[in-house]
Amino acid sequence: MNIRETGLNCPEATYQPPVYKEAGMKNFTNLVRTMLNDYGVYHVQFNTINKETLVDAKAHPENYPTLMVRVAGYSVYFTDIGERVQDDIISRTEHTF
Amino acid sequence: MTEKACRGAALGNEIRSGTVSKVGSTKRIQELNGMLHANRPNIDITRARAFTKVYKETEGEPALMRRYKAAAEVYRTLSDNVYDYEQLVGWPTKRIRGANFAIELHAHWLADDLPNLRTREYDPFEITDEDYEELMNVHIPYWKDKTCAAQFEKYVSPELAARSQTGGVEDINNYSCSNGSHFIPRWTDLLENGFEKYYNTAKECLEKLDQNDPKAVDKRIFYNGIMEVALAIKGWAERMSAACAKKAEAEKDPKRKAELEKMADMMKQVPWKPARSFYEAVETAWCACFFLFVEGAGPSITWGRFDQYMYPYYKKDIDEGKITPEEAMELLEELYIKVTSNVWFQSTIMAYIFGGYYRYPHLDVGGLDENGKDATNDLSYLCLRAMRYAKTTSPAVSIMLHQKTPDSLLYEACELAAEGMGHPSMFNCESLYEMLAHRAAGLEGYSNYSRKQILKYGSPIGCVEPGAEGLQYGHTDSGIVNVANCLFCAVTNGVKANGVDGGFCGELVTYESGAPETLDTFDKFYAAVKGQMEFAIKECHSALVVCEKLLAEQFNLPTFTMLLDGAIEKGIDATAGGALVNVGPTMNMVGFGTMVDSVSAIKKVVYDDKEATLAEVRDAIMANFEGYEDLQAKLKAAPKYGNDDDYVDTMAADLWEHFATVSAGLKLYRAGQYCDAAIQMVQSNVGMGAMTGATPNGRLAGTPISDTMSATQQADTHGPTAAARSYGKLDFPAYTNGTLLNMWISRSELVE
Amino acid sequence: MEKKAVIFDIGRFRNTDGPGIRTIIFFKGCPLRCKWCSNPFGLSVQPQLAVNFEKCTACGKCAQVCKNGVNKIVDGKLEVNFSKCSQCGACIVPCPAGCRKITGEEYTARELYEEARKDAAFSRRDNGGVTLSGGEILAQYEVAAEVLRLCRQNYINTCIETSAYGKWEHLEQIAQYCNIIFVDLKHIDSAKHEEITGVPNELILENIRKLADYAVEKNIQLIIRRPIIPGYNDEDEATIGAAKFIAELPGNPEINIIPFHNLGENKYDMIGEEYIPKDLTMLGKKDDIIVRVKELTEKYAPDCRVSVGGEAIDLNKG
Repeated sequence: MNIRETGLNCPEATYQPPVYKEAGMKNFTNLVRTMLNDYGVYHVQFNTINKETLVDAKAHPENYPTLMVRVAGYSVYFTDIGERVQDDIISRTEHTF
Repeated sequence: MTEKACRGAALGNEIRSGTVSKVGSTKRIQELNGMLHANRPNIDITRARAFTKVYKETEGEPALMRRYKAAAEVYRTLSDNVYDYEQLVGWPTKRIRGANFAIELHAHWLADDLPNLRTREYDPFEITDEDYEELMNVHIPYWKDKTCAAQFEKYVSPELAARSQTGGVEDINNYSCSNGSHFIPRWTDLLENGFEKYYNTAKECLEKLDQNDPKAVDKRIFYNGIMEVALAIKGWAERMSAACAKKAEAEKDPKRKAELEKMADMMKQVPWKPARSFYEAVETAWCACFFLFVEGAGPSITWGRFDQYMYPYYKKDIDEGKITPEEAMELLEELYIKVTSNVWFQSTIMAYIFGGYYRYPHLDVGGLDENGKDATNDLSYLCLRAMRYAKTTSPAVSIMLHQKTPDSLLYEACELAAEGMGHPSMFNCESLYEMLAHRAAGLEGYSNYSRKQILKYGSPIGCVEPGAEGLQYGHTDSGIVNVANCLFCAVTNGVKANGVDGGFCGELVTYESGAPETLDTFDKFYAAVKGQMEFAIKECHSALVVCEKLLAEQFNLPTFTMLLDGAIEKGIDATAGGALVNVGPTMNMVGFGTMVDSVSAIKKVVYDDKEATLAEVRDAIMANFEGYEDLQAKLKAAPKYGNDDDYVDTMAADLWEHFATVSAGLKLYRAGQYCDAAIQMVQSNVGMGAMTGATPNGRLAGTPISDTMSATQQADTHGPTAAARSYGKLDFPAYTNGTLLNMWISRSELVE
Repeated sequence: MEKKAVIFDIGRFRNTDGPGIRTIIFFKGCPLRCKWCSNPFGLSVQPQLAVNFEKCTACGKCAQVCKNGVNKIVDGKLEVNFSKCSQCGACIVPCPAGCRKITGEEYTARELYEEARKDAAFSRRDNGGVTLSGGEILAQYEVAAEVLRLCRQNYINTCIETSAYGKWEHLEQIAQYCNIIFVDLKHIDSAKHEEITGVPNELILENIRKLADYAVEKNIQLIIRRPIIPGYNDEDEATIGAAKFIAELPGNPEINIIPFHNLGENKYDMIGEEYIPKDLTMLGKKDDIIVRVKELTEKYAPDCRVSVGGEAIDLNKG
């Protein structure tokens, strides 16, 4: 029995699991399966922070002390990286016409 | 843009001070996390002091002997701090979030830049005034002409030295300054036996040595050195045990007192002797990891298949009722916090490329076992779950996903991804296994790994580089080749743009592949692009092998060597080829999407539609498109990589293959090895972009080039499935040093 | 010549409007004019110029290249006279901000099938597949039916979204190739329906009855959607009437309540149209209006499953 089945008892914990959107989560896992196991892509990683949050964190870093983003192969505190890298990460989230 | 937001890491440190990040599954973890974040990255000169002392005392002695003695001296002088709330023992530095950095690799740039260190934009470090003075007056003067980078310049022409460090087409700084990195120690063996085994092996080998074998001359030095370093590790553990006992004595709270006594007892056992419990196994994993981070200067000491080699200890303790999953997770969270404390110390130019202090420790779960069965176990889940509570940047936790991996582990991984921290990385096992089968083996060859070794020990190192527990050594992030700049040079006949960062602006920075006026067919232009790539790869390689030789001769690594399977028996240091598979300097491509989109734009606008000449494109990019806005708009409208469009994807696959083929054909300094290609270089797309002129895909000079192997920022307009189909056309195993892909998915699609 | 349909978007990796990963093909052109429509690009069947004013830098390039004088820079801001536009597309490429496009492109059924098939490796898990949406697919029913036929032949799961406003024979041609049908019921009262959508509802109600029979016979999952727009169709009588109507249909189709959202608002600006329900704010699933609608629906259609929001539908029957 792994912890997904038994659950964990952490009364002092600061973290509470969110409510997941079932279709979104399942399709996310399906995307990963297809990319890696079917198409043979070796590695992938995801940023999931919304663009609005990143833009706001750049303007008001004091409100986002521990906001983390994936740069490439590693995560850093968004507030720790230079402005140009911040902008680059924000630009990766934009796909609007 | 507020002034505040521009200040980079200094600000990040400021706003995280105090209590803001007291997160974790228990009060203990919350306090430890608070301690971590209350400290700013700082310099520790303990290691520098040990090195200067030993090297001054041993002038004229053999290089390896001096190096090993210095390594032992470091262990003898490491801090013995024990803090409140801790269960895991030992710190690499006197202060939390310190860097016990390698003076012998960094002194050359510190000589110029030390005054800047406290205030630089990327990765500032605190340093006490006394340590500053000592560094400036004692250590830097002694070492500044002895570093690998300083010596490198004596082996090559001034032009090559400059081009390979500031040209912006190729870069070797990470190789020359980060010796001792990218390594998965033989964890299974270490947990089962402790360092004592390596001491004994060295002793036996020394006793058996045929004194008339000419090789015995060097091997005697080697074995005596290994023994001295092993004993120094034993001594460190004894000092830590005493420190815990002393703290226990003074402790009033009986519960904490008992914990400290247990810690004192534990340090009498590990890491010298076998681990007897999950707790002791985690302690060994922690201290051996930071030993290597102190001995080496580079990144990516990797835990590899942590859920596999830890599982027997976990299962036994669970079965015997000695530990609960919650208690095990608490130890994992503490491990994550401690390894996050381990910041990477880099030169200012490197921090510009790799900034963020991150030192790339890496922990994998999932995958197959040596018989090809799914290897997922309870601990696989727990390792991923612990990250949700601890919320640390390190280690990179990742899932090795095989067709056989249960969906539930992937759900656990995707739920972690939904947290928005960028964790975890996701790897396809089959591609990893194929990469390992050809690691460092050239175009036609096979690596020394057996299939069983690959299945049992294979896992990614650092970001994505294929490695194997205890079987492979080599700095895998070595040369950087900026193919966006190669493309630029194919249009400009080898001349770099004006007004961008780095040297050679407006001058010849590569070679003359043909004036644009002479490239009258697409095939001729395409050949020039490939020629520029080949030139840069080969020039970069010629510089890297110089460093490879210097590192093997003078910058040896005894603790890495002990933790390589079979290296002691062979009597060969890790840097000199002690591993089963020795990975030499590798070749890492950046700017792939920018290059591919630019080739596509030129094919479309210049050669297919004939709306402009290549000379006009050259003029346009040289002018950063000022006065050429119409041409820029046309170029921008061409098909782009990442949209499943064969017009461009066919060229992408071909250029991808070209880079890998040229790289894999290059021999390395140590016989029998070949260069491995990779496409993964972290945020170098920003630093490298700053050194790159405007590109024919419409990108302006100095702005970031595309990152890793991902489509150019905002160019993949047809959604993630179309992007994935483009990526799926590429031959991944050709990149025997790994590939990295960033994607973005909106959190609002995943959670309420 | 092979028949073509005008398509205004192909959405990929979508989590809604059907099970699994969906590829959604949006048909252009609709006989209804629902005042809250969130897909205004789907209203006219003609290709149209669309301009993202938020990204526009007012550089004036478009004004230089346009022969019809559609674009003008007035006081440093772009003004577009959409009625003069001939959709020639001359202004698209020269725009340095990339903020222009012609929405609406012609595809044959086979081409659309190829587009759907590209995502088959992703959609094959969890019954993912293709969803035809709009606009109104009935307006271009021949191509729609052929796309669905090709998909079903290759075991790609098929869904449609329709207003059911069209000839039954046309609807039947499409329905025969569907796994799941989403049909809207915007108002039960014909006069009010006409007021808020521009057309009366008799034909729609008749088609829904026929669809319900047909769905039972052919083992197709039918889902009836009720978009709830405050002030337009959220009154109790509308809900009770709709619930009673659905309760009498065979097969107890699921009733899916969709709370009003205004995510389409900025698209109106892009094509020079006016967005009418400007003052309305988005509804949440737990807002009083929605809770009330759900309670009443459950009361008057006790045998039907009632869900709120697209993601709450039980799609396992499809």
